[in-house]
Amino acid sequence: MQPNSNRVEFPSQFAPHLSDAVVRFRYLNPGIQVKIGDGFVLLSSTGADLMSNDLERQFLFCLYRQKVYAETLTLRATLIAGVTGV
Amino acid sequence: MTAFPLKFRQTADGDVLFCDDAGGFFKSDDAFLSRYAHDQFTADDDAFLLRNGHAFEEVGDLAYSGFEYRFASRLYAPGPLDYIILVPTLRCNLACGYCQVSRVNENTPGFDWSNQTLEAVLSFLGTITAPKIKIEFQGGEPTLRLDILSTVRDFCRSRFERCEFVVCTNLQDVSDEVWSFLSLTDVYVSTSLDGDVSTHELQRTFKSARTAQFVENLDAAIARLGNGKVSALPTIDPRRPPEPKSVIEAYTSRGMNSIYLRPVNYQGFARKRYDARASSSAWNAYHSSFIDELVEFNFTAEVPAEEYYFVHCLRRILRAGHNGHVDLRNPNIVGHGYVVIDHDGKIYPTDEARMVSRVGQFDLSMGDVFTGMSMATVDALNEEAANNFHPDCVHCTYQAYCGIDLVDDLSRYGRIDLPKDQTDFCQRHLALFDKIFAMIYSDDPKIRKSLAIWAGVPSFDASIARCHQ
Amino acid sequence: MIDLRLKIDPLPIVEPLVIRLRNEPQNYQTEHDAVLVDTEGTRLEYDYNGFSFGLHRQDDENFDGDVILALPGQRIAHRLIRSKSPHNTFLVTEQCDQLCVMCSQPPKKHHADLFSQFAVAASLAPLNATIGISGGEPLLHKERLFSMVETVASTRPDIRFHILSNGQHFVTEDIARLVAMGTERILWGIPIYAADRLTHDRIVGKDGAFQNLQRGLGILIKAGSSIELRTVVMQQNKDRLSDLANFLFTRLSCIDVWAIMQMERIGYGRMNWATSFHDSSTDFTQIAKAIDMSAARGISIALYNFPLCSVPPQYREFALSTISDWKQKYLDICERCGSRAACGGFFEWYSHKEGFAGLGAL
Repeated sequence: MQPNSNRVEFPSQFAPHLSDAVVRFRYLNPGIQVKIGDGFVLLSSTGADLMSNDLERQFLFCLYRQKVYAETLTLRATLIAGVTGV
Repeated sequence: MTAFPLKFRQTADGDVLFCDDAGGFFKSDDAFLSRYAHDQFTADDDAFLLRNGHAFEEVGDLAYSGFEYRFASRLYAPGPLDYIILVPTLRCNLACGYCQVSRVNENTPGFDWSNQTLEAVLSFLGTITAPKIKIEFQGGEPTLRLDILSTVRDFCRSRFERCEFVVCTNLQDVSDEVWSFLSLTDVYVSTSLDGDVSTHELQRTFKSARTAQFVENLDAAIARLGNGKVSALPTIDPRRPPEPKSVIEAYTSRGMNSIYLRPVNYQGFARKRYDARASSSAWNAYHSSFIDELVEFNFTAEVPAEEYYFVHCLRRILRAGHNGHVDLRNPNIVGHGYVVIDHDGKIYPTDEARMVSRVGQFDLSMGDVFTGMSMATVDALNEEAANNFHPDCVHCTYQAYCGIDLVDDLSRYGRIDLPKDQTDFCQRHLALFDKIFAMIYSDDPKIRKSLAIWAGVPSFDASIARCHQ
Repeated sequence: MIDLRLKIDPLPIVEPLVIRLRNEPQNYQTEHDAVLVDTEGTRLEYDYNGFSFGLHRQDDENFDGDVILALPGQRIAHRLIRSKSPHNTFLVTEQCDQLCVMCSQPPKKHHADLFSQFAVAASLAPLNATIGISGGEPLLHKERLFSMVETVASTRPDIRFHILSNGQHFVTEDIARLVAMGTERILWGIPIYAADRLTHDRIVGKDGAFQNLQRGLGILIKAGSSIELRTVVMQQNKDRLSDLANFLFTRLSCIDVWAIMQMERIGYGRMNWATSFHDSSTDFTQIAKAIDMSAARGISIALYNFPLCSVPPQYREFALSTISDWKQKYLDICERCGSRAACGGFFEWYSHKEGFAGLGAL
């Protein structure tokens, strides 16, 4: 069975967040395989119905979210410290 | 300018909803999301975010402290113990198909409080230092032990400045003595009315004579005690739900305009007959159509109606500090503000915890009234009881409005660490919040009218549905 | 109109004097108490520590428990506290550093320091009284004001203060003192007219006021203070009310209440009436929007000094009776109004010719 695959590219500033994003993407989409390339990932699945245009967007969203999370963690910690006095 | 972290979610109409940790929100588009992710905000973006409370210029400036306050207000801190659920008996004179309390037949001995248990319960109540107390009697059918109800009430009234007693009764067989008790000033009735009468019969009373008896008692209760003292809740089987119109009619015709739809909970007896796994999508579809029906109803009704939990979620979106529902809090610290005392004197942090323990999966008890409260299990549970940094919730647009329910997860899946979107709790709340936001951003005047009523304002201002495009 | 001054047969004093009037000797008498010993027509004779003085009253008013201030050589005593009224305000200064376009108490250069006397008067107030502190700008004399509050707090912890201030004079060092005074003891009434500095500064007649106000509010918030934000709605700011509503929700959700207020036609308010007064009885939309935006999101909002009939029915629950009794009146049309008891009526100096067009008995 020929797997369908989508190539999803992303700019270099997202690279530090790639592995976290891949882990999360995979547990949210258990039927999808993710191959990591340089500046891109290949999403594939043996089941055609699992692949969709939306998957590319869903992967990018995971990537964006990990980046936002990592970059704002200090701010969140400061907020919590301000609120709990810790 | 620094923006606070934004969570985002695609909406059905192709836009993107953005929310922050303080519960602020706005809608924008893919282009904005892309600018956000790539650190390419325009001056216009900056100005919008700053104006709308999503950003600050200096740590400690008004925008920053304003956000801090709203963020902090979203967090729940339990108050003193002042709400106790008492289960004086498991015996019941009905055998409802979905019964979740693992009831026993009316004449079965050994499932009531003994005299020692009653004394120990009163001792326990005597240790409560709050000035007011709310006692909710559940069962089985608590009116089978009217003597216990009376004794507890007398004790509390002599001990606390303000008391409220709720009797959760099936109103099936109501003696004169029970009527007298229910008529007392600080006593309230909570009963079940499963939609229209035929659904009620199908699920609870089974025989038309019994159904007629119940309906007669319910109507008598409303007539004698007034709507202010009588509330009813429908339990709905998502696979065979009653028509929303018939439920609305059954309730509003009796002056009951707050309808709290509850899906069959598969614990206890309910587990044997109802399959919970497939039911969350069926439930969500039904619930959504029910809300649509209410919107239609409210457009012309003299007295509008609401679905209690939907309104609760709407208010949690719009404002902070709305923590009245025990299942929807963050952090959901249990075992402090209220506890449950079972027929055998054991203490539980929630009613669900009692049922989970009774079914035999886990022991979530926290001591008993004889030897005292023990917080070890509850403390362990509470340590995990926040959604702020859960790997799924931290990215979720609805995190600030949502909560966490570890006991529900335990009862369904035997564990609390599943990816959230695989849990019933998350699926139900995603659907609820999706629908509420769809309504907030709707132009439909009928929807606007219901939103105003449910938000408690003269008119639902369109600017609350903020957009940045 | 209730006169807050009384004719007094002058006492032989060289310092201002605070006296509490009692109709009968009390079990607990202080050095400040005077007891009524004789009544002759409109003249009341009091015994004060062996001295006697006379007060002249207009009608049958009962002064028992009232606190007055007598000034050397003057035939007028000021009624600082009327024991049966909830509206007692100390005018602590007439100096001010702003020139608000609707000011009801235009500033004067001269300041008479009576803080010590006010401290005594407050300590003689009825149990659980709330005392208004007003000006001018009370915090131009911050040290004296804070000392007065601290003095009263030590002997009368039940007394609360409602202090009106422009919020311009707080500094970080005040935080500890404010916390020590007790956050429940003071409600700060602070005006804010718009969310943008241009509009706000223009209305208060001072450049930089808005920036300073933000700083001041930040300090009050850090001290956990109770804040009542006050916005007089006028032609100059009515179209920016929703921006202000948004500003308050995003930055100042912690306030106790946002009071949207109608103008008072006295002082600069009367002078600038034609160019400032907004007839909300014929156009309530901006106010309605501000209420809708705020109430939905959990901000406590209230309308002060709005007669009930000037407010659309669905918004009337927000209109409180707030006009002080001594400067309050009702109109002829109020004779047959069913809501008169709940309504705050009008300011004594309200002129119907230039006032609300949309009034009528409910």
